Amino acid sequence: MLAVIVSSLLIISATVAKQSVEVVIFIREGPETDMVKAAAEYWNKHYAAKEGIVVKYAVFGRPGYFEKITTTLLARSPDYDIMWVLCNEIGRFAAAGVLEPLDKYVSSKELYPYGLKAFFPASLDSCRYKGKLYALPSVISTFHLYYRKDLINKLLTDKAWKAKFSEIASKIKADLGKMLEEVPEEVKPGIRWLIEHIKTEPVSPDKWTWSDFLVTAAFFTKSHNPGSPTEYGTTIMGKRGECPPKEWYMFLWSFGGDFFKHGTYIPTLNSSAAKQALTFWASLLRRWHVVPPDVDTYEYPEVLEALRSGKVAFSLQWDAAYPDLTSKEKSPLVWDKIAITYVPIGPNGRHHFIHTWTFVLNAASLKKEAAFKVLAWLTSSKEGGIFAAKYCGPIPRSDIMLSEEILKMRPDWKLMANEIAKYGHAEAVMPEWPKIHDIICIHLVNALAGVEDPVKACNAMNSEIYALLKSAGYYG
Amino acid sequence: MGVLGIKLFTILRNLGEDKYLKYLMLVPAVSILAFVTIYPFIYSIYLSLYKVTIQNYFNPPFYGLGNYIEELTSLHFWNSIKVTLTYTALSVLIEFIAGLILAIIFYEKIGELDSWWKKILVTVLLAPMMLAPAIVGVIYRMMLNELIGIIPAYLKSIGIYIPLLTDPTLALLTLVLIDAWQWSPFMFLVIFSGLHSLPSEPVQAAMVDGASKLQIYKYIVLPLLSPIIAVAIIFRALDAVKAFDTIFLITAGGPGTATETISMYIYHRVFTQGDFGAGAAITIITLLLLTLICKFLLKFLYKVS
Repeated sequence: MLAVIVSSLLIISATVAKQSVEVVIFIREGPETDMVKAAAEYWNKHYAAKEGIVVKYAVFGRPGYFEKITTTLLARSPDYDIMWVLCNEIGRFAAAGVLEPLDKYVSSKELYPYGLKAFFPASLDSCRYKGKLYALPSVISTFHLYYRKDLINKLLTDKAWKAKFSEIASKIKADLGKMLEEVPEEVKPGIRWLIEHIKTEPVSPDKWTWSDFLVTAAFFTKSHNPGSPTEYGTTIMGKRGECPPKEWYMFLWSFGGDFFKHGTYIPTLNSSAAKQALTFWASLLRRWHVVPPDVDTYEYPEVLEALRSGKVAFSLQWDAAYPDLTSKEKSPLVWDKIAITYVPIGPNGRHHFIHTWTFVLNAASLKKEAAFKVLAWLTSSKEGGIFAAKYCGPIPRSDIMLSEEILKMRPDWKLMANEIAKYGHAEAVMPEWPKIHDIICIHLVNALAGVEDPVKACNAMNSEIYALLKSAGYYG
Repeated sequence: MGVLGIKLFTILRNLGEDKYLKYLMLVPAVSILAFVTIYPFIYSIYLSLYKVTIQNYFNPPFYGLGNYIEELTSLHFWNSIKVTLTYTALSVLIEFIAGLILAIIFYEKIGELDSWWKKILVTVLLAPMMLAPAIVGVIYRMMLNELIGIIPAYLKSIGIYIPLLTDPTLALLTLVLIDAWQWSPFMFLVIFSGLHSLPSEPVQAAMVDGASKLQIYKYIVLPLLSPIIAVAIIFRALDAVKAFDTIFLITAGGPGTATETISMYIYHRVFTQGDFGAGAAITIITLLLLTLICKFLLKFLYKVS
């Protein structure tokens, strides 16, 4: 009898196993893997039997991840159903037809009971190409201004420091006046604005303009102020790759520039505002020396290390650095001295760069509906949000990011949600964007290295982008 | 399996004469070779004639020689060729000189050391060669960092500031020295083994005739070693032309494009910019250039030897 029962159970479980669909997630090594691993374990324990879907995942190394995902998608391999893709890449993959449009899935209440309204608009827009939705945002990133609150507090209160600050502010003002005579006409408005906004008294970082940023950076740089407790005031990301343009865009937007003429694809990176933004950014190294001299080899890890080692007083850095910089184990020198705030204000206000890591559905997948159910749960449910928050970053949905449960885990996300909602700005979604990004990057790093004059660099990037888009048929 | 193989062999042998059999036996190896090298090469030529990007990958327009013309008239392309040739020439030259000097020192002095020391010294000397280039990149990226790196810290302590990675010329030279640090042991190993395999009679005869050490090395040892040196130089030159990992991790081609070698340039064109057609054209042009350089180098080195 027992044997009969056991064999019946085995037959039933074999049938269930046979009926269940296996959905495979293509994921990058790192915190995102930790997130997917935990989420997959949870799903398989609680939903696999009910939904008939088992979640598996395949991990790929960080170096070469973009190449691997490109070759896998273009090979039309059905091996992976859901893939972790940066929003920048959506345009060209969508144009190639290797991504499944998600509109019909999200419009079905049964498949997508969460609704799209809670997503921050800028992050959802970065998932659309030609009006169609190709991805759902998973984790959003932006920049914070990280600063040493112990040093800034002292600067705001200590008499001797304030006097020195005032002296440095006057020197920087005089230098900007000199610069005004040297730069081309189109850069002058930006320099005038910087001069007008220089204050002789230190200001709290949440109210900083780029002028305050510059003077405070000079104050904390030993070559300007031998008594500075830090080697350099700040740092920037200048290594060719993903980071320099994404940081510089915040300078560009806040000086009043943009990529294209409104409503068109005519590039405007040769605008006066773009030239002012690039002149200011490159001058932090080349003229004022308020950043380490080797910033053209810096990206995320170097900036993190500069802050962690206490060698700089403040810096713009990705939000992902916050847990590391406030961890006693990982940053024993500064963990209790780091604070974050908004990016400084320019002539055109404040702008935060945002980009979103998303989950897309492989058009070659043989289990699209099942895969979408998992994708939707990962990106839009409270449970998915908790796994993202615990291991990776915030899902850009106000109902998740600002929920009490999540804010308890990450109180810094209250500021981040504000940065995204009020000042969030993303790149354009178009197939040519990665190439445009690289063109911009080449000229930025050239300007930083002093190989190209900032004005010429802006003109060159603009004409190269124009030629690229013209050859791609954008201008008829 | 073995019995099956013998049976197949017998059948094939009975089918015809031995002259056909030898070709049949080559089929498996040639098929694998064709699949892993010839097919990708032909596919690269095909890609280079089309304007293939990620977005039109499945339906690319025919572009003829357009990709070749665009690249041959591109300043970025020629800059990367210049950087590659400078990087290769300097690193191979330094590696050759360092490897030769080390090999001679070891050859002359190693006999005086006991075997325990010999083993330790040779292991230490060969260690850099055993590291993956990516690891070397990560190590030097940290060691050269102005804020936390040991090299700038040491230079600062003796009152020297050298913009090792920020000056475009010095950045390339720094990468050359890193390559030389890693690969001089290879030259050492090859030359050192060569020295041990040389016949002793010509050297002894020269010594009897009263030749000095310098004369023996200049007129006997080096000429005898030159075929080995030629092979080592070509191996290293081909490797240096392909250098990618270390450069990618330390400078990514910067400052500006001062250290953008041809491999970096191809990487940026194909994967960052998504231009597969242009990338394929660059690889074909590079292959032709490399073939010419190798031919010239071989001719030159054998002439010297």
